Amino acid sequence: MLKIKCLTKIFGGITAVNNCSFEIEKGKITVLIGPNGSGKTTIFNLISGIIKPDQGEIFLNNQNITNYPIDQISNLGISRLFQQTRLFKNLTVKENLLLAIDNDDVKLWKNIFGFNKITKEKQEAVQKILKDVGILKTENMLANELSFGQKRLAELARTILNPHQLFLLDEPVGGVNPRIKKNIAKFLLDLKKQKQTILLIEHDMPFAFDIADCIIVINAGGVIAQGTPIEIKRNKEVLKTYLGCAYFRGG
Amino acid sequence: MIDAYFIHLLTLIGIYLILAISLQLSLGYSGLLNLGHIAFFGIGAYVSAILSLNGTIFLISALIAGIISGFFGWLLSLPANRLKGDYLALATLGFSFVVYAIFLNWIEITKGPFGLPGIPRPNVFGIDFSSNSSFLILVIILVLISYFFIHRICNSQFGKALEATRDDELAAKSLGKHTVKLKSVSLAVSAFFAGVAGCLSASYITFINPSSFTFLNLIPILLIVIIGGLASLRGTVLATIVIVLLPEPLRFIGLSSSILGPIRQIIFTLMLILIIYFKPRGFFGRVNLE
Repeated sequence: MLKIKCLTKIFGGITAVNNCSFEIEKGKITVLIGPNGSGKTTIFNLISGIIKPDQGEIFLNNQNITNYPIDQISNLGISRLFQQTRLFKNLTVKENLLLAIDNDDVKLWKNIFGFNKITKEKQEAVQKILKDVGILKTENMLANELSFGQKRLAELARTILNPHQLFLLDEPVGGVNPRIKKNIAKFLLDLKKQKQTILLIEHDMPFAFDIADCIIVINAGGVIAQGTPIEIKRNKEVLKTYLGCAYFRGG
Repeated sequence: MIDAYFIHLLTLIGIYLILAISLQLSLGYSGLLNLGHIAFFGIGAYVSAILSLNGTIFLISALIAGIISGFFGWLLSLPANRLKGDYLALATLGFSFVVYAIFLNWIEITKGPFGLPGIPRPNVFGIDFSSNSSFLILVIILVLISYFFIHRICNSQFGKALEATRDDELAAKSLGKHTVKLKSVSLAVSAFFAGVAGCLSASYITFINPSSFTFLNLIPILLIVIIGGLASLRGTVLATIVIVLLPEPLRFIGLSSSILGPIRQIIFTLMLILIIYFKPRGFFGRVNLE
């Protein structure tokens, strides 16, 4: 579904992504793991068009999207959750989510003459997703007033409400408390059951190995291993990269 | 006598109101630090004055004034879309100086520093608005129309998309919003209403010259937006009334006009300091000044 070919990105003297190639399959959860600074988020930024690669190409369903602008890539169905929360802080949670549903809101005349109403279906879609992630009671709160965990959930809900065929989730459980983490894990597994395609960055190894169909290990901007969780656990190269990581020592 | 004075004040409030709520659209709702608003006001005033002096009827000249101002707003948004925050403020400020220089130096059209006298009072569908009281009715009608449209825009999903772009442009883009288009439209609409206000002002005073369109004239309008609170229309209405009426009692103390001007500036400055100190969001603001 998503194919990355020989991607390279150089910042000043640092090669953040180095001749990186991989492919992810439809209906699977693929997890990118790797040490801090190995280039995972840069790869996400390249896919979503925030930065342009120095070399290489990105294909979505065989369409070359390498130099597309951010909004166009989103409209092709790549929906992204950022590492830091990026809710619209002066809008309510509901308003945040309504913006994700469609793009009729950029049409001035349609809005002035009231042809872009907030329909009952839209409201129900918002309420359903908020209920699914477990923060329905925050619907009318300003995004600014939420706790960190609630912000994370609201943003996850917004990412899912955005029309999509592929999710890019950058550390969805980073920094949230164990209860919310469990919520998110369950929610991602539900998405997997619905045959959604997810590309995930995760530092929490037990969590990553639990939900992944496929794991891609990134180090120094390149892929050093790709395979099922079991294959990755037995891979010597990966053990070397993650030397000292308790999960691998024990596993 | 007192009636005439009140009518004058109300007319002033009306014109300022259109200017302030249109600035609120680009500054408060879209987060564009637009210091070129006075230039759009000036463009509207000059375009309508020149058209009216050549016999164009009021409605047409007001509409053309708005459209040409709006066009310049859109034009300014093209470079502005590559700039943010302080740089955008500098660019729009530069634009207002350029426009002022054109008013001053394009003598064949604008008569330079002498200005354009004798601008006719409006006549719409045979109804004469030449007396001050009837002109006030026209102002009220245009204020209501402007308020209606801007209120409608700000409270629609379009307005929410503008606010989203203001809060986090990258996130808005990541939801597939064409934020460049959003900002351009916002600046163009904002400039359109500033142009209409300029047309009203020109035909009310019946004389314009470049000195009415300097950056100094923008300060009370910026002040209204800040005191009223960013992204709040009712705050803007309240602040407009306060800012226009606040220095008025000074007239009755019998000070000479050379002292009156500076005192007015001091009052505005004090007001600004007090507001920022005690109520940084303004009267009804929802957004922090950043």
